[in-house]
Amino acid sequence: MTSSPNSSSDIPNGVDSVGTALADVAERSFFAFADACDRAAFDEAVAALPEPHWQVAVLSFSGDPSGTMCCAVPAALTAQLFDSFTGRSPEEPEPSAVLVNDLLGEFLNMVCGAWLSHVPSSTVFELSRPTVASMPNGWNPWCTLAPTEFASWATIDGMPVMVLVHLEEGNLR
Amino acid sequence: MNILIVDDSAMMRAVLRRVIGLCDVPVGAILEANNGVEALKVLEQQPVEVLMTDLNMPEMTGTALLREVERRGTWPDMMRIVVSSDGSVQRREELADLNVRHYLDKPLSPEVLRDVLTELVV
Repeated sequence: MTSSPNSSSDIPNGVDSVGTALADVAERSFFAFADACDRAAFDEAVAALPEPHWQVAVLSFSGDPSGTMCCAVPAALTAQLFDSFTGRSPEEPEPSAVLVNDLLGEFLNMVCGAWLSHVPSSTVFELSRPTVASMPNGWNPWCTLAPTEFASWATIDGMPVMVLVHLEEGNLR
Repeated sequence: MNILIVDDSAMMRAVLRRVIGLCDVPVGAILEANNGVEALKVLEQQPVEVLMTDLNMPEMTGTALLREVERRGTWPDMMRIVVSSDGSVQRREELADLNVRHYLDKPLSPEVLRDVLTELVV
């Protein structure tokens, strides 16, 4: 019997595999290119944003492993991803906040699904329905990672994106 | 050919509807449901030739929906297609005995869906 992963070192190339999933989803469904970067480059991209208005989506996953995944995306990028994914033309009405949040939740759903589909496991996984929130003006994504957490940073069309994974300690056997 | 799209994301249902339209395959009504419970109600009331369902949904998952469809045996000729972000081997094995004709990974490309729907027309 194998022990469940409880850190990025236990999941084969944890950070890289999340980054790969992010890039795959961005390219295949959103016709966008995600470029992996380090934290310093990510912070630079954050500082360069003309408007620091962020959205955060989070969902939980259960199975082997279990935990949560969240992504932080600038609102301007979310709007761009919406247009790319839906094929919305400029002449069409602006989408409602509900639909835009729906899009970000689905984006996270696909990234998490793509990641977990390639994590070695003996069981099926389940994903919760994503929750999406718009963060207060001036909020920026920053975090000190706990031992059971890892993050993947990237830029999509020059804008910063962070995906953070928290693994449940109960995974330990 | 009536198609029933089952997904708890209104945005995803709209995108799938749009992708179906781009497939250039003759389609009748495109019906929608938010989850498995709603899907069963639609199936009981209208003829459906193609069932496209997500898996992770509230109230009734896609897996539970497919199990109920199989259990009832009321729609033996309906093509069952799963559209999901879960591309794991374990999930596919779980659905192996539920007459799923195609398992399509999200993100979904129009070309893949076109080839699947063309099967029914040819």
